[in-house]
Amino acid sequence: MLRRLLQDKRTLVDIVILLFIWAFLLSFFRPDLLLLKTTINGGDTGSHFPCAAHLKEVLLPRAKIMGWMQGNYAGFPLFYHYFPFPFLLMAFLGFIIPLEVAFKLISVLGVFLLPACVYVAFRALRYEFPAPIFAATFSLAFLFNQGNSMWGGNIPSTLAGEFCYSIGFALVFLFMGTLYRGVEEKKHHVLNAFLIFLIGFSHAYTLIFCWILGSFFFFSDWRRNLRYLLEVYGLGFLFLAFWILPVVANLPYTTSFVFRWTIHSLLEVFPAVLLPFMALSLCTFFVNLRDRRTLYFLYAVLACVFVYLVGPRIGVLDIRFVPFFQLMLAVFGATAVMLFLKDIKLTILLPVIAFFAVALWVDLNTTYIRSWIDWNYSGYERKSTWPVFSGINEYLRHHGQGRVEWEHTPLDESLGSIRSSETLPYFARRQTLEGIHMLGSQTAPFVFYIESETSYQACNPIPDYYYSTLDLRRGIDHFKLFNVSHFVVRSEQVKDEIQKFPQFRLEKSVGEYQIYLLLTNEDRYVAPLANRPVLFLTDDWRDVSYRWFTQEKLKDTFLVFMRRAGRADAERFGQAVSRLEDVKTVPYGGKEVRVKSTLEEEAIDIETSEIGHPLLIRVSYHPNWRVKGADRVYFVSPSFMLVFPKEHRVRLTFERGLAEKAGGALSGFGVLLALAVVLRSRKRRAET
Amino acid sequence: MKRTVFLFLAVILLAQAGFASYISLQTTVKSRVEGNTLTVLISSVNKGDEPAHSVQAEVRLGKRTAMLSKVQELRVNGTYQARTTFPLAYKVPGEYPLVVVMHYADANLYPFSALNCQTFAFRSESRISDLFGKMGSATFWEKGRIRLSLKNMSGDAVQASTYLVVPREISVAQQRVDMLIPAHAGSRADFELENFSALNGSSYQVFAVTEHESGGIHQTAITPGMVRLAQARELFGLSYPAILMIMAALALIFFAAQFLGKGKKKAGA
Repeated sequence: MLRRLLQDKRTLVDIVILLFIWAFLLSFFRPDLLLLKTTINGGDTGSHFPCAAHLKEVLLPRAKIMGWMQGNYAGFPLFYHYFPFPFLLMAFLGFIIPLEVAFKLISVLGVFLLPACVYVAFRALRYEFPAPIFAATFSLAFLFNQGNSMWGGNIPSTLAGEFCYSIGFALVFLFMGTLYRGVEEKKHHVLNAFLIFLIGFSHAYTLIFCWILGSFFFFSDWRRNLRYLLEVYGLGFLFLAFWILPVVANLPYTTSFVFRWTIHSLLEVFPAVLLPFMALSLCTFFVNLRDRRTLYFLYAVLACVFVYLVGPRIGVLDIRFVPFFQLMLAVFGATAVMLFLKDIKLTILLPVIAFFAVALWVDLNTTYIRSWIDWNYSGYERKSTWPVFSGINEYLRHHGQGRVEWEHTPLDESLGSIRSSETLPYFARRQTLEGIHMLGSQTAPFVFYIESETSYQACNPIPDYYYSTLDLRRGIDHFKLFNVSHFVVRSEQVKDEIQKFPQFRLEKSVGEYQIYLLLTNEDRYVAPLANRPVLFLTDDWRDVSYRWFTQEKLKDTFLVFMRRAGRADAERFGQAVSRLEDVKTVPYGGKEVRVKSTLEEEAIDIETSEIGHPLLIRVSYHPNWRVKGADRVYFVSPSFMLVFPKEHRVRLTFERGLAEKAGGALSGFGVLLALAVVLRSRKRRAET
Repeated sequence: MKRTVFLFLAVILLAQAGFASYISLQTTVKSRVEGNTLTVLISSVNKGDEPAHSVQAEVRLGKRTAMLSKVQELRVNGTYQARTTFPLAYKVPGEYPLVVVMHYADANLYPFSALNCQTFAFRSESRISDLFGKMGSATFWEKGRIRLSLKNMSGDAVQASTYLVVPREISVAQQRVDMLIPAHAGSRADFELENFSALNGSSYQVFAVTEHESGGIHQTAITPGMVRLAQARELFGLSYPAILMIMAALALIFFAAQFLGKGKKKAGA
């Protein structure tokens, strides 16, 4: 087959141009930096690294893809609200080459895949030479568009940390071609289902686009198409079930973040580098409207506009659909070349000319991308500030067990990223409050409230919540609640303010940073309650808990949230209320309760002197926590766990829930089904 | 017709737009000599659209330097102000140079500096130097050269000493160049420059400070010049013109093939 391919001059030209495209990309993503064994930094990217390390070092050895990570947000369920596929690739590759290098290589995978996927998609759509390779070349203009660095798909977004989206984005364009071909020929069920699996496993928004593409085929011959689509999407769902069912089950334990993105300038959507290609596409739509493939593209473009407009109303982030719109308008114009090919000779020269023209145009329109790539891929260890960052990490690694809070400040950018502190679980082996997966944690709003109390320039990222200004007095209370023992300070304002609080002792100065020890913190993750917990009956625990958290008067009276209480629960808790105003503080009398605890990644061991006395576990609640030595785990304010020990020794473990088990069974069934389909089609082919 | 429309559209849209945040410190330096003391007042306003960090003024007076107060963040339209004094012990009255360097950093704490160069009068009236200078601009990436031309407008030959004041991102090879300039004649001095840490596309003002004594009066001529750091753009190790030539050659072959009727027909559509 390879020989036949190579004998076809046109395919050979296509391959050469694809190699040119990758060489062009490599002239930006320098191989010496990609292969350098340093920890990637920049934007959100560096903060993803501890998750990849956790997957490789903790979860995979336990034969798990999803699990618990204690490192951020008082613990959160990792990959229950984010996409494991790129991290799995990193972790597996990390067993062969250094994880740092594996991470870098996979983080650029989507960028390098996109031109190839566009090319294959156009081939699958049966566009003739040289339209597919033109489309692949045009995709460079999309990749290098500097109109935004947050929406996904382009290089700036990838550098900002959205490499999962980039991989799903590349694959969804491949799927665009293979689905069209599959529906036409009623073939390729398993391939298309597997692509749906990979796309969904890479990013949720690219999965939504898969559905959008499928809906096109309801508009013609829908009965026959419906059957095919049900088979493909059904099998794709089965493949994904082991992950997506737990994701759905986990939704109540996440933080939502949906809003209408503000676009400041039309040039963000229509950046100059894309304008010629977009104009070409619009013209091609107009001229080739009778071609069903044109309608397919046009439908997808209009669907993106529709979803963008209704996105916030249906709970999706509108801006995530603009990159699809942009890429389709960037590459579809490649089919215009078909209009000119009649009676044209030496067409194999056209892709070469087009490549150089596009590469020049893109290079001319590129300003900051090269230096951003160098900044990210040189890694934390190559920054001039590394001795400072490393010094802080080394100190924290060897002093204390409690959590670390790090003042939020733009000045941290010089360390490698404004989010450098989120890597403490990796570099310092210490838990910190903030982390990359803020939406995957129900504790995130409380963490950012604490940040606002203890930072001069807090980021206040979740718009649905209110925040504080610098207030270290209240911050100390919350530090104790979250078992924060160390506080890293950078701004002059907080350095001045902290002098007023003798509870903090300066332990070490590293460069411009100061590390303080909170002397009044008990430094324990499990503590006996001083007051009787109150049963709070509510359907909206978030609002109640946030109000409880931000008020001072009830800080030592914890609320246990339930929708409805059984008789046993009502008897166990002295009070059952549904209004904060009705909560009464009832102290436990006299006896001292001695508690010891050990925190592991997916287990918590507790020894208590008092059976029956409730213990607050300062770790985020999740229904997958199972307990021995107590009858159940309660969900307690702000978002922690509470147990009533039945024995002196209590052990909590994070285990697979019902959704994981059901999802695993469905996925197993899906794999068997796919094998049966493949075997049957092979048998048929052999018979014919 | 369809082909014409496509060709038209493909050509028309070649617009470029660039948006970038920037810091622009507009610095005013006032100097006053009272007795043997020079007082320097510095006021710097951030006229850019992003805050400047670690803003600090450095005052150079001959071989003496003073680092003034540091501001962690200078917001947009924020003003930095600093003041310092120097005791003066010059033996010769006249006009002396005063250099102020504003050090600052962007959000990534990438350091920058901006120069301000002027003169002040010590125990004499302010006067214009007998030497008039001209310095052009220099564009380079790694190493370059900038030329100072001086014209002696007096009727006597002048023994002058010149040095170049550059931002710390650029290094200059010569500490000082001495030259004898005949009456009503000119002279030239070349300064070898090296890019130490300047970013591609950045421009810096530099100053040549030329001092001499004439008639018992010290004179100073300040000559501004511009240095631009520009890296030649390349693709695959080929310059843009080379790429354009390759494209032109390929296009020529392609069109020739159409008109000469050679080559195999490969029409696809």
